[in-house]
Amino acid sequence: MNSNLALSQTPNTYRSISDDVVLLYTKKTLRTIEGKDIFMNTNQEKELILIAQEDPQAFKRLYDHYFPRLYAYVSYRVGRVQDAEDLVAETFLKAIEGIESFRWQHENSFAAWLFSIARNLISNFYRQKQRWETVPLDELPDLQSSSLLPEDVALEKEKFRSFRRLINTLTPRQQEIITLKFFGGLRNQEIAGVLGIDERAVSAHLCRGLQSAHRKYINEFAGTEERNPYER
Amino acid sequence: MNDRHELTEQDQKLLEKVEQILSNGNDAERERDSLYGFCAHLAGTVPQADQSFRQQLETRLVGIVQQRKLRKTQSRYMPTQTRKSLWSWRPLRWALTGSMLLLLLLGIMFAIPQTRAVLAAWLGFSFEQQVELQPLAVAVLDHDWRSPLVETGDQSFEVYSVDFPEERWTLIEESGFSTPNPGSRVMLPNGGDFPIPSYLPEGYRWQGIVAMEGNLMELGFPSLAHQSWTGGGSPMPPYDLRVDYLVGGDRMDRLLILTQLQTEGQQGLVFQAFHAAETHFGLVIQPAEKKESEGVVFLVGSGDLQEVIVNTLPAWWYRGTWNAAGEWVTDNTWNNLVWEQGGCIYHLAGQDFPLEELVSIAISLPSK
Repeated sequence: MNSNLALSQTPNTYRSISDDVVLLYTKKTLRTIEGKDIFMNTNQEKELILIAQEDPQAFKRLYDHYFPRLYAYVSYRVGRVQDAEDLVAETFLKAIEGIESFRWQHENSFAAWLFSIARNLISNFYRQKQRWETVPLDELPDLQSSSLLPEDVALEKEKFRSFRRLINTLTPRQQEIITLKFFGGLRNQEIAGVLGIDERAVSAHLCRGLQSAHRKYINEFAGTEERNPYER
Repeated sequence: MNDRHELTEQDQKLLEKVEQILSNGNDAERERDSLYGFCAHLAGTVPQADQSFRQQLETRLVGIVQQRKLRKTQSRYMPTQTRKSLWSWRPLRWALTGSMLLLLLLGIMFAIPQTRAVLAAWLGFSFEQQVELQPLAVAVLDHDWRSPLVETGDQSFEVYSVDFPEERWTLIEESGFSTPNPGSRVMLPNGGDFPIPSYLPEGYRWQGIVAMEGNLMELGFPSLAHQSWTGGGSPMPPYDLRVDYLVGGDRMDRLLILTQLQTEGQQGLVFQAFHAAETHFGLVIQPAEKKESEGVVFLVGSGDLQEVIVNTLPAWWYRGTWNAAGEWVTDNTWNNLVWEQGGCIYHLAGQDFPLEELVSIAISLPSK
């Protein structure tokens, strides 16, 4: 072994021992929590981001943490499964490319950075597409609560499409904030980071957007015999 | 604090409820019609990825990280003394640094239009931006000029003029229009330069020809700016924006821009017809395709059609245009002059220009 290389045995330390050692990190075993929602605290995430540049296991953990949220957000924005898959894959590829230059600034910065990549890609996607379109039911994504019964799946998708249509009648900012909140699972502070606005503005837009969507929902179905698609 | 962002007590409660719903999936709130119930329903529509896609992407990404790890490990174990000694060799260090600085300087000079031509001349070669004019018609429609266009279903186009004050031209220049930057050249399909008329009607001035591949919305053009992909307004038919031709302006600095659009599934670009309420004049050049049995087929309208002479060549003058639906419109303010010259079909069109003016403009076009 090269005498210049040495491994620090102190957990959670990252430092250069000498000029010749480019990166040194501990071989601390990362605990993997199996399950849908993996809780990570700030220090854990910061640690993971540093290691994930080179450590497949660490990267996998970040991926497990962010994939469902990113996918849900992108799906809501673009609708069609194929488009969502392309954009999610591209987001993660760009994140991998850029993760070495990512600099931790505060506890929300990584989520904001990652979702900003996705948001930019979605903007480009629509810029090229130049239109809003109604996506056929069979090209919509499944929902997390989908049952295995085909009729239930169809109802869920119809419900998804109706909500999506409703959300898309809101202002662009309200749409962004509601989808980042409800599907990206971001905190208001993180959304503020993605959109580059004040956190209080996020809260205000969120409230106005939800109230407006709800009013439209009521207007659409109040006093009609039509079956409410939002109810199962 | 901005008043618009003041939160009422009701807002605060809503925010708390949203957090509660998102963290607990509050089923109790799912009663119909209440705002919180609406939020709970919305939160219940979370899309879920196909597991095979998730797995495949994970494998792909983890592979990239593994490769990176391998490269870094190899790099880390590279004999450090060698790296150190190479870099510490002063002549090499100076030479590399100097080369990089020189390249950087040249790059900057080439990037700035004002210095590009000067630098090119100094280096002894001409630096010329060449943009090949995209054919405006893939095939000249085999069309009976006495009847309106038939095949219109899959064709899209947009011609419009906008008030665009001269001081805002810097925006165009910065955003990629090839003119009026010096040294630009827009080529015709036959290899010639785009002809710029030396004669224009009184009050008009030539403002350049542009082949721009870009997004008009980014330039702030209002015609497309209202097209909201986020759900509002009437969406445009799907298209891939390809080429825009800026063909002229008038004394009010209003520009005419012909945007050529390619729809999904459409093979190539198809020039349909002019149609705009406020268009002034324009010149469109497209390759002439000859058919053995018929020669060059012209697309002309039926309004007062007459044959005239332009540059000793036969030309056709007619009134009217086609509307967005491809239907013929009898519009006496709209005059057209069409002729074939040097393998290209020239179509000069404008509103309120008499035949003599159009012929004068046509004659003033350089032939090569």
